[in-house]
Amino acid sequence: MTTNLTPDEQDLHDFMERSLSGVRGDTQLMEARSVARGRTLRLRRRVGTGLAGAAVLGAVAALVLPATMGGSSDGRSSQVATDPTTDPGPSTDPGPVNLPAVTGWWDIPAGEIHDRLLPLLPGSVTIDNYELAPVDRAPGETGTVQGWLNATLTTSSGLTGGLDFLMYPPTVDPAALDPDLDPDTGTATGAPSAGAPNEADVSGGEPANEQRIACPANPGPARTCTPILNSQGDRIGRLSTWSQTGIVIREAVLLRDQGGVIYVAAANSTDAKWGTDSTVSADAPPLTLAELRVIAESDTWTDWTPPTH
Amino acid sequence: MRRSARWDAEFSEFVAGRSSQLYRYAYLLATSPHGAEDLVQTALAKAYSAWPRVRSADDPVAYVHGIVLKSFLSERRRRSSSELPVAEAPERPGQHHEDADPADRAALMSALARLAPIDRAVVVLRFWEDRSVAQTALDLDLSEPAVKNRSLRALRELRGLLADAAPSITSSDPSPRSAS
Repeated sequence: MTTNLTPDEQDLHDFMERSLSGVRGDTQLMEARSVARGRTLRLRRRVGTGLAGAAVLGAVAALVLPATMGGSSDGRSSQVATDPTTDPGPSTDPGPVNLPAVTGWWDIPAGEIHDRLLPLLPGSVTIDNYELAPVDRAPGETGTVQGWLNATLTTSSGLTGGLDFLMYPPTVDPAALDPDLDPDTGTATGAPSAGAPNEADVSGGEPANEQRIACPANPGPARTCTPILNSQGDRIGRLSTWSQTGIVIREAVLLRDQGGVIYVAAANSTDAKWGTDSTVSADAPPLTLAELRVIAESDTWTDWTPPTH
Repeated sequence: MRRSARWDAEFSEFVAGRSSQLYRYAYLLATSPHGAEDLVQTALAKAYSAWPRVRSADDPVAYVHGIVLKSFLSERRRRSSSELPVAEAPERPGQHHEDADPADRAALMSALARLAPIDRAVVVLRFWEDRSVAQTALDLDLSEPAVKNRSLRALRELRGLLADAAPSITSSDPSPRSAS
């Protein structure tokens, strides 16, 4: 018996225990992947710290030089942007882990996605409803939606359904980095790479964009998947359909510039999540695979660049 | 032994000892095996990259649980609507689910997936981790009344969704104590 729960809450706790009894992940694989990704993060942070240091030096110079030359300063201190989402938060937290974010076209704001999406939609399709600010914002989370758009679409023939538009930043291949960098000095240690048993399967991202664009090995009866190849015959994306219990989900996923990925999907459901128990809103999704592909392939997304401050 | 090698060994020992617990925690938050793996890997990667800080924490386990929670709350945005539980969650070799009832687990994950992410986090912290309202409020940076309201609302919704799978938790109205 636990301590903070009423009897009915305890029943829920026990049900969770029963449901997860004996459940465990693949420890070796999780360790191998987390070590590889951790090294990438550490390297990225070290690079970020160097850049931040340079920025601070520049800011100090900007403040000090005018003062020493008889000028004035507005007194504001420079601040280095950090990723607050990596602050673990519990009371045992000795301080945030600050990771510089990889920014690029995949950070396009939702309002901009909406505006650029409109001319790419067939004339018969309208955007009825979309989210520009997260309605279930987490404490501390910014109110700006970037890199994704959820919307409800309606066709002139009366089909209503959901649209999911997501952009994923590039995944970093840890194999391209020196796996033996000493965490303190940045010099090679020669130490064996941790997670060696699964090194070939290790990805630096979450999950790797390579996985996102791949068709499943065993698609099963509910799913069809066609790879998209470039002129050299390399796989750069996929067109997929998933269909079960009346729900149809169509997806176009494409690897784009700088290794970012565009995922655009439509379903005949306006539920927040699509799956076997979602509510069917129409006979078919409001966009075809070909129409989704046109959206994913447009250069309007990769033309966007983050503002420089 | 070099310090970095010692830290790698410590991290490896930490993962070996704690990954199952972390995975179950992440599974409840993410509601799918793949999502749980992603979440655990993300959190462990962050822990690895800042291991000196993690190892010096008063409670490294709580620290990493905190990273899982924050990662879940901050990274849920770029998850497509079709990254759903159960329906397409093939379990790979290496994932071990031998004891649990798959039907119960599917029902539970499906029900949890219906909750808003912050409500789900409240449920997991309160009813799985058995944290007090005050501690949950602190962990999620919410007010205590907000935690109580979200707990009640989520519990009510879970009762409806789990009516068949877990009748014992659906048999009574929320007790006033649940808001304590």
